[in-house]
Amino acid sequence: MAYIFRLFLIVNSLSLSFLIFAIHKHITLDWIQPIFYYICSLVLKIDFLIPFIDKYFYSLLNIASYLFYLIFIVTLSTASVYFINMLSDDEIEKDTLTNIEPANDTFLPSYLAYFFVALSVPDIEIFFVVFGIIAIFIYYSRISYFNPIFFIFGYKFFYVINSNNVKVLLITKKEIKTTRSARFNNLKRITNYTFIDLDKGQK
Amino acid sequence: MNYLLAKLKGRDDEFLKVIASKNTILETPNLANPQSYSSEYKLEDDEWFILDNFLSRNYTNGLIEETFNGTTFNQIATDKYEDIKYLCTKQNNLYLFQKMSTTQLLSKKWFKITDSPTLQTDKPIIVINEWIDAIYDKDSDTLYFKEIAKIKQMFKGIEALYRTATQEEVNSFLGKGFISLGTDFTSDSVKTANRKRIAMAIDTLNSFTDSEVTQVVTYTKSYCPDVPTDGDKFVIETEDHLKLVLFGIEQRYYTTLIHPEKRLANSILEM
Repeated sequence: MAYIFRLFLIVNSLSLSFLIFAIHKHITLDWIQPIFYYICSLVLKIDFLIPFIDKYFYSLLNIASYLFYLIFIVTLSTASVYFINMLSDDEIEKDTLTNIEPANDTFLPSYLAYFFVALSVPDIEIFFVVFGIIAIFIYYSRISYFNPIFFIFGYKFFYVINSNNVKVLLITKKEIKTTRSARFNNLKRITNYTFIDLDKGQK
Repeated sequence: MNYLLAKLKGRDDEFLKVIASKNTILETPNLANPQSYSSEYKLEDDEWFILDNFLSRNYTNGLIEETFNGTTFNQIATDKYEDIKYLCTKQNNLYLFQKMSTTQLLSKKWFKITDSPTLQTDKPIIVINEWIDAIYDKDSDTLYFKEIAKIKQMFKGIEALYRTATQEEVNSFLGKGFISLGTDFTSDSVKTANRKRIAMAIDTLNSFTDSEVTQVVTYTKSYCPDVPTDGDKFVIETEDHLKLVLFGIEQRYYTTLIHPEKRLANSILEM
C-alpha cells in the first residue's frame, strides 16, 4: 500500500512537466469546448469584453484546457497531502537538531531540468516513456522527495542535521531559522530521508 | 512519541524503526524492588537486578549511548521481519528490551474480530509480548534486568558478569568422565576467568545428551593437540589446558571453508 502511495507522490511531483508539454504542443481537450462556449455566452453580455474575446477566442479556448490541467494537478497534490496522513509517524524532539539549512533553492534547478525535457520531447508517447523512466529512477533512488506544488500550499524545504550527524529533508510550513527549541511532533515519513510536518505554521 | 525499534541478527549497530506511536507500546513493569546484581542471588517474581552507572561500564548496545533521534533510523523492510533479534521500545526516558522468540512471529491464518471478518493467509504478524527482558532508564543511568543469559546479545560484554562457579561446581566439573587432573594441578588452582567459563560450561553440558558430550569431546580433541590426553580423557596440567577444553565445550573452534585453517572464535554472535 505504501509503495503505491509513494509512486503516486512521484507521479504527482512530475505532473507539472505534463502541463509544460501540453502547452508546448497545444494539446487541448475537445470536451471543454461546449463549456467554454457557454461561459463565453455569459461573458458576452458584458459589452467591453466582446472585442477582447473576439480577438483572442482560440487562445482563450486553449488556455481553458491548460487551466483545467493546472487545477487537476493542484488537486492531485492536495489529495497527496491528505493521503500523507496514512504514512508512519515520526518526531523530532526538542534540542536534537544541530543544523538547519534551507533547501528550496537546491531542488528548483534540478526540477527545471524536467521542464526542458518536457519541452524537447516530440510527442505524447515519447513523453510518457521518458517520464515513466524518470519516475522509475526516482522511485528506486528516492532519497529525498520534492514537489514544487507544495510551495503553493505554503510548505518549505529544509535540510536538518540532528545530533547523530544524520541529514534529512524536512518539509514544513513553519518558518525555522534557529535550531533552538525547534521541535516537530507531527511528522510523517515519506522516505527514510524525507519527513513532512503536518502542523500548521505559526504566523 | 514512543518508538518501537528492531535489531536484526548478525548486523552491526543498526537499529530499524518499526512503529512510532503516541500510545504506550510496552507496559512498564513495576520496578519498585531493585536488587543489586549478584550472580548467586535468586530473584523473586517482582524483583529486578540493577546495574547503576551503566554507561560507564561499557557494555555497549549501540542505542542507549547515543542521543535518541527518531529520524535517524530507517524503516524496516518487509523481508527483514523474520531476522529480528530483539525489539526495543523507547518510551520517554525508558528503553525496554524484548528478546524476539520464534513463537512471536505467527504465520498462521487469522481474521479480525468484526461482523465481516475476512480470512488472512500469508500475512504473518508479530505478537508483542508483555514480558520485558531489560529496561534501561536514561535518567538514572540504570539497567534493570532478570537474567544475564537473556540480555547478553543486547549488551556487548555483559556475559562477563556471569557467575563464577563455586568450589563444589569446579570439583564436580573436574570430576567429569572426560577430565583427569595432572600432577601439579588441583581444583584449587582454577582462577576466576576459568571459574566463569566453568559456570557457563556446566550449563552448556547440562543441555547436552550423553552422545552429544562424547561428540563434543571428540571435536575438542581434534582441535587441541596441545592438551595431553590419556585414552578418552584430557589430562589438565595448566590453566591453559583447562581453558582450551572449556572453549571446546562452548564449540568455539571452527575450520575455514576455503584453504582450511583451524580457528578459535574470540567472541560469538548468534545469527
